[in-house]
Amino acid sequence: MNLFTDGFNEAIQLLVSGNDSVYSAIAVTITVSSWSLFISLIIGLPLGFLLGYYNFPGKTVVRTIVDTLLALPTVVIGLIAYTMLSRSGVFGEFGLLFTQKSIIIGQVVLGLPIIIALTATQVEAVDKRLYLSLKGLGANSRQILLSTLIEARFGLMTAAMTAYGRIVTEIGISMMVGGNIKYHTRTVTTAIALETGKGEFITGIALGLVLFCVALMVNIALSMLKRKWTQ
Amino acid sequence: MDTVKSLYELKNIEHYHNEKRVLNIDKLILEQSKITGFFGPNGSGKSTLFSILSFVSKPTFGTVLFNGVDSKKLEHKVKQDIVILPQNPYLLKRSVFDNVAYGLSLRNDIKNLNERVSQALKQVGLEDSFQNRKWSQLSGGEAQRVALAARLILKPKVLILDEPTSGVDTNSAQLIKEAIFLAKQKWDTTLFISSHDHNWLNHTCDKKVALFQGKLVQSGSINLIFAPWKKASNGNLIKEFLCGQKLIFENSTSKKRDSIVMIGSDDIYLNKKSSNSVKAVITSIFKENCANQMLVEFVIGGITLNAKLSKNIIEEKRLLPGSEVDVTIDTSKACWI
Repeated sequence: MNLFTDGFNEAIQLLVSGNDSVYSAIAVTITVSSWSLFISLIIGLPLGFLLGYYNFPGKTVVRTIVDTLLALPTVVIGLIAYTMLSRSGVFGEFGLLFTQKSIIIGQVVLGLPIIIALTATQVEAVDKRLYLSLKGLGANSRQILLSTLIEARFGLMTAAMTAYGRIVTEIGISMMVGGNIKYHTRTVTTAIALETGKGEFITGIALGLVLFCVALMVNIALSMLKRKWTQ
Repeated sequence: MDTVKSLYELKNIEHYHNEKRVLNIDKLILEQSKITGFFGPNGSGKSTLFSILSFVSKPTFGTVLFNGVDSKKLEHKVKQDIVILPQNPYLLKRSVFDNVAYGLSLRNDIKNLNERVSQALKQVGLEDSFQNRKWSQLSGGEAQRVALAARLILKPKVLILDEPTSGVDTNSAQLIKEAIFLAKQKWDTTLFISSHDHNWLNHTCDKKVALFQGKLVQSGSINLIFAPWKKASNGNLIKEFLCGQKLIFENSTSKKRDSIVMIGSDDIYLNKKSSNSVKAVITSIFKENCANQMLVEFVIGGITLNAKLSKNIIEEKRLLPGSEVDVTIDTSKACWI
């Protein structure tokens, strides 16, 4: 219990004292996770819509693959991303390894199946009368896509929150392709691993609490948005 | 002389759902600027036909001509002039204002939006204060009227209404009916309406189309009598009405007990007593296209039927809604489906 309360106190101290390395890790975490979520949504929402809305040959196979990718360990994604981004890899010439961009790429691979699978589920669950109403009012395919996604917005927010939760708490990708470089690619999770490895459990717990606060703030913001929409 | 222009021409239409044929129409011509009523039992193909007429779905086989142009070659803009109000319409999870303005925003026609939304709501009997309400704050009748306002604001050339008054209270139903007629008067909108309310269809439509099991059975005044049937000792089928009266159908020994009988209005005789006649109560009388011919609607034990009668006889016998009459149905003319 002491460890936890001491960690809590240190977390407050770290935040109040404006510790550079902590704030850098928080900034990197928020930056890369936000970009990862944004890119995952841009790519994942239309793909999820297509998967949920249309029937096509092989749909079940695609759905099974996407669902399987949900359980892909982050360390495996990190490993695959590493082999592709390292100097001898397919994308080695771009020099992305150990940059924030490489973490974003890995996290997009992590978040994309979540967005696609949950969007498809939400679109499948949308009232079947919606299509007839939209089409009957003269909507074209693009307008139907947009309106359907807007109608499924509450479910899609849950999908985004789920994806964000997984992205912001992952460590395998950030560690393997980010390299845990201080002030550059060190995220809160890699910092926790480092501090715990050094035996600095209290600092590790403090950073964990900071991570929890970041996730809490994001969730509160989304919940407020959801309440505003429903009222 | 008025010339009636055909707006739709359907040729050899067949439509399948999961390999089951749900619509089979050889030929159907629908006229412009007219109100055409569609009726038939549930599952007769009305909604499927409306979905095809509104170009929401394509028939599996066959051709639909709109103003003489094949539907496959129609531009999206032309299709946008045809608007359908489906049975149990879906309201977007947004405010009433957003719902009513949605069609206009699809068309990028957003001038004087507030005023137009207000006017459309007024047309369906809803006050301005409804604009800010959420979709979840509306009753069934209000939601139906908002959905209709969302269609009327578009001033469509063709308005297709699939059972617009089903499941709404009497007041809402009346307001919906008035709004529909206003659209016809103001913009000369061609209307296709399906309803189980035969009385309303009789009063409002220029033409009626009957559908049964996906086929056109007859346009005009026909009557359908549904199962259950009872067997007489000689094997003929008997229709026993709720009021206890019985009607024996001759030469029906070979007919199945889940059959449906179709009888034309011309084969039903009012004010005529016979060994097989039943008592009925007149519910409405209205003028047909023919000057001296009236269509009389009557009820036998909850089943509404209609028959034709000359104006002179009606006046002579002083037949009025509420009058009891003897009805003889020429059962030999019954068409068994």
